[in-house]
Amino acid sequence: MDLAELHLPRSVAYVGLARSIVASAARLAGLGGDRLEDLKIAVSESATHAVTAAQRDAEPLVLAFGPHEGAFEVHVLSPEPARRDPAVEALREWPDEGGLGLTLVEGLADAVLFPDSAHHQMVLRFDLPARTDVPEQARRSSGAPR
Amino acid sequence: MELTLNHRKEGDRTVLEVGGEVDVYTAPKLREKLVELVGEGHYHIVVDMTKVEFLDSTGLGVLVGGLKRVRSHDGNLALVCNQERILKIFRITGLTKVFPIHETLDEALQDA
Repeated sequence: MDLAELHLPRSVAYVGLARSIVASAARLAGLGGDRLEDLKIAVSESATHAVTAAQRDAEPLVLAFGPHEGAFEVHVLSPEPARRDPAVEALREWPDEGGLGLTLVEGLADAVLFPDSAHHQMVLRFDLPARTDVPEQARRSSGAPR
Repeated sequence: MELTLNHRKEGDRTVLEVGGEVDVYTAPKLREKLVELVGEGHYHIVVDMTKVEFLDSTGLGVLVGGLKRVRSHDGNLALVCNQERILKIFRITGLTKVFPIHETLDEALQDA
């Protein structure tokens, strides 16, 4: 997997920059319109969780992102598990002032994966539309069908 | 994009115009403003979100907090929002059942 990696200071002041950079890369990869807006929110939510859950400010906020297997993927590492215990969640007062982030992420992304059992890494997947704007010469050299 | 906050009285309501991006960095300013307004006795608030460029769950949480504050004084907090991408966030989180959401400010002000 060949993803770009972004390291930013672990501060709430950098969450906006993180979503702007990731959204720019997603736009270049072919994501557009409402899906780009959905991605911005999902990235903001996962980056916010990673930043606010940090115990040590010295650790950077790390996001890896790029096209992979037909989707634009964003990997976010968090010091705290991103998924809550369902038993604890059931006891939560509703409506609460917090805790809506994961609900939003799961509602906006095409897939949300937790590759490690401790749920410290969150992978957001946004399906990319089929590209129709690849130049003819590039298609020939890559062997892609016309 | 900076967060902009402007409020004014419209009859017995207080209209809070919110513009720009509401995220974890800027949401505390919105929270402070709502706390300040309620502290000054503004219990019937209309939050006009037509100029909001970005909103995430931190902003939603602040609005829920504002609603709780005005309700503790028998007040109410309504929203004005006509952007589909913002409305979608309220729908996904189920908050369309919690907030009165209007398409225009006039509609919000006419609502009893």
